Order: sequence, then C-alpha cells, then structure tokens
Amino acid sequence: MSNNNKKDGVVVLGEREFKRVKNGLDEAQVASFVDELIKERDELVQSQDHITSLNRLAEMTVVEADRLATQVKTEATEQAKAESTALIDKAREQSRQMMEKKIAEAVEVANEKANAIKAKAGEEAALLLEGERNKIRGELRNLVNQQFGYMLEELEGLKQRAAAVQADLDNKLSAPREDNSAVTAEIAEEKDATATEIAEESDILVGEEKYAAAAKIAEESDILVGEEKYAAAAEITEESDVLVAEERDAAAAEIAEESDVLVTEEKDAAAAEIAEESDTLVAEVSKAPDEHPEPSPATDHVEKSLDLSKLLEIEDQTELNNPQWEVEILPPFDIAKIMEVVSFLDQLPEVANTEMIVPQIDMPSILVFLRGSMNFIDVLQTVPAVSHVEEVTTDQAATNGEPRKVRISL
Amino acid sequence: MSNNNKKDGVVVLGEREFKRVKNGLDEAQVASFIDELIKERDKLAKSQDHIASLNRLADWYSRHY
Repeated sequence: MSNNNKKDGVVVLGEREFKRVKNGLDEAQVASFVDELIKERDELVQSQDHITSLNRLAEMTVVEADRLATQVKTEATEQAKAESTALIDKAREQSRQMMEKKIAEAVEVANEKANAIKAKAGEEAALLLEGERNKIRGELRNLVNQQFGYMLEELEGLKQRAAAVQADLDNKLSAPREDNSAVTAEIAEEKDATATEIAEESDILVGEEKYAAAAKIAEESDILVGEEKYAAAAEITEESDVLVAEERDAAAAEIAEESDVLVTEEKDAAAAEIAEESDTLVAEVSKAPDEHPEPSPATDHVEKSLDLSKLLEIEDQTELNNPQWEVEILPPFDIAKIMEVVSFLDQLPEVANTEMIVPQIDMPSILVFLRGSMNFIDVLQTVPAVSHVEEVTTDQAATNGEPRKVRISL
Repeated sequence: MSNNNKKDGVVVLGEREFKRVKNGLDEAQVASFIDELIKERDKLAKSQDHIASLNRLADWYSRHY
C-alpha cells in the first residue's frame, strides 16, 4: 500500500502525498499503520457491499413473494368459486332429482287412487246394470202377465162364443134325432179344432208380444246402462285427473321451495351438509302429501253411488232370489179364478211378485216370490176361489233351493 | 484523534506511537490522513453494527412469528 516517492521530498502513502520534514514521523511506522487502516476500511466496505447486495436480493425476494401471494390468492379465489359453483350445481341436480322422484311418487299414488276409483266405479256400474236388468225383468214379467191376462180374456170371450155356437147348434139339431150322433161328433170335432186353433193363436200372440216387449226393454236398458257407464267413467276420469294435477302441483311447489333454501345454504356449506339437508328435505317432502288428506269429490260420488246401488240391491234382492213357492193348478181350469188367485197373491204385503207359467202340455202354475216369511198354505186356504190346497212334500227340493210346491183346485 | 507526545521523541496518532526521525514525514499531514481513515473505519464499523443489530432483530422476529 505504501508507495514511497522520494523525488522532490514527497512520500505517497495510501494514494496521499506527504512532505518530508526535519524531525518528522517515522515513515515505516506511518506506512504500516496507514496500511492497517486502509485494509480495515476496505474489508468493511466489502462487507457493506455484500450486505447491500443481500438487501437487494431480499427486496427482490419480497417483491416476488408478494407477487406469488397475489397469484396464489387469485388462484385460490378462482378455485373456491369453481368449487362453490360445482356444489351449487350438485345441490340443484339433487333437488331436481328429488323433485322428479316426488312428482313420480305423487303421480303413482294419484294413479293408484284413480285406478281404485275406476274399479269401484266399474263395480258400481255392474251393480247398477244388474239392478236395471232386474228391474226391467220385473217390468217385463208384469207386462207379460198383463198381456197374458188380456189373452186369457180374449180366450174366455172366444170360449163363450163357442159355447153359444154350440148351444145354437144343439137347439137346431135337437129335432132330427137320426143325424144327432153324426152331427154331434162333427160339432165336437169343430169345437176341438176351434179350441186348438184359438190356443195356438193365443200362444203365438203371447210369444210375439213377449218377444217384442222383451227386445224393446232390453234395448232400452242397454242404452240406459251404456249412458250411465259412460257418464260415470267420464266423471271419474275428470276427477282423477284433477286429483293427480293437484297433488303434483303441491308436491312440486313444496319441493321447489325447499330446494331454493337448500341451494342458498349450500353456497357456504360443505358437501356433507348438502347430503344432510337433502335427507331433511326428503323427510319433509315425503311427509307432505299425507298431512292433509282432503275428501275427494270422486270419493263422495262413489260413496253416494254405492249407497244408491245398495238400495237398489236391497230393493231387488227378493227378485234376484228364486221363488219360494210354486202353486200348481189342478184341472178343471177357470181363467177367472186363476186370475183371482194371482191378484189375491199380488196384493199381499209379504209377496214381492208372482209369475204365471203356462206350459203347452203340463198344468199351469204360479211362481210366488216372497219378501218375508209367511204361512203360505194357510193364506192360500183363505182365497175364495181356491177349493182345495195340498202341499207336495219333496225333501230334495228343499235342499236344492227349489221352490216348495203346492197344488190347488179351483 | 491525533495526540502528539513529544516526550522521548515519540508521537501518538490514533492510539499508535510513532518515532521522530531526522528526515521523517510531515506530522500534520500524517495526522490528518490518519484521522480521515479512522473516521471512515468507525463509520463503516458503526454501520456494520447497525446491520448486525437488525439481523439479530430479524432472527428473533422469525423465531417468534
């Protein structure tokens, strides 16, 4: 470090010039000390530079850390937004699925109810149809009996005319005795032929009348039953549709409201909370449709109809059953007395209905349908037109549900 | 900083003793230069001490926070 320049009496130490003087300081000592000081200063300056560079590095590091922190913060925010969006979408999807499930369940329940209502309506229609048929059958039976009465009256008139003709012929043929037997036989044959013809005509007339009346009544009953069935089916369908729509709307509204609440809460909650809220939602929604069951107009209608059908069923119950008694009429036959017996039985309160059976070969009989129990034999004996009453006892008939038989003479 | 002690032909500058010789260096110039160097050294040393104190403070802060 020291650089002695003895020219012109000047010495350079540490890049500084010093003059030489008399009685001055020792150059070697001064040079050594100056070197030490300069060395210390240079070391300190070097250390200072190192620290300065470290400071710059630290500042750069801090700036970089700030930049990284900002970047991490931005990325974290974006990630949080993405996760939040995903959670919200998931919650909405779950809510939508639950809503669809609940709607499907509500529709299924409504369909089941509608099917039950339809089934009941079908049964009710069948009962109504059966009631109408029985009612029409009874009317037809009455009509046939009425027509039969008319035919019997006609026959009675013809019989009286034939008797008159016979009396006239008897009077005319009473004088010539020799031809009496032949003429009597001829008249008897004519009488038999006339009676046979009248009977055939009366049977044909009765059959045609019965057939025409039965066909007309059956047609009318079919139309009536068809209209009833169509009206009942339309009403039931409409009521079931209204019921389904109401249940579906109620379930959808409740689920939508719950799903909105759920989505709002899900924004700040974790995925586990979503599952818990979903379970709560499911529990609440599943309770909803059964909390306030309202009486359905369709149900009222069915109940009313069932009541009506029950009434009809009770009313026609006696007609549906078999006759309790069969009254066989022994010859000789008197139409007026037969009709008197029938009229007497019809006016009894215990008798629901009577039916006249006129076979071609066998004896005629009267079927008697009772509303309640009565001593039928005793009652028959009180009829003025009846001269004799005899019950035909057969054990088999009682066991087979066939009517008890009684024979009467007029 | 300079402390001249002319006893026994010895001069003290910066706590260092220098002998007087017949053809020596000018005492005033040497004293001035040594003063400058010592001031610079002290200033740098003080700055080093300050930085060392800051380092210790930073170490303590990083340990506690």
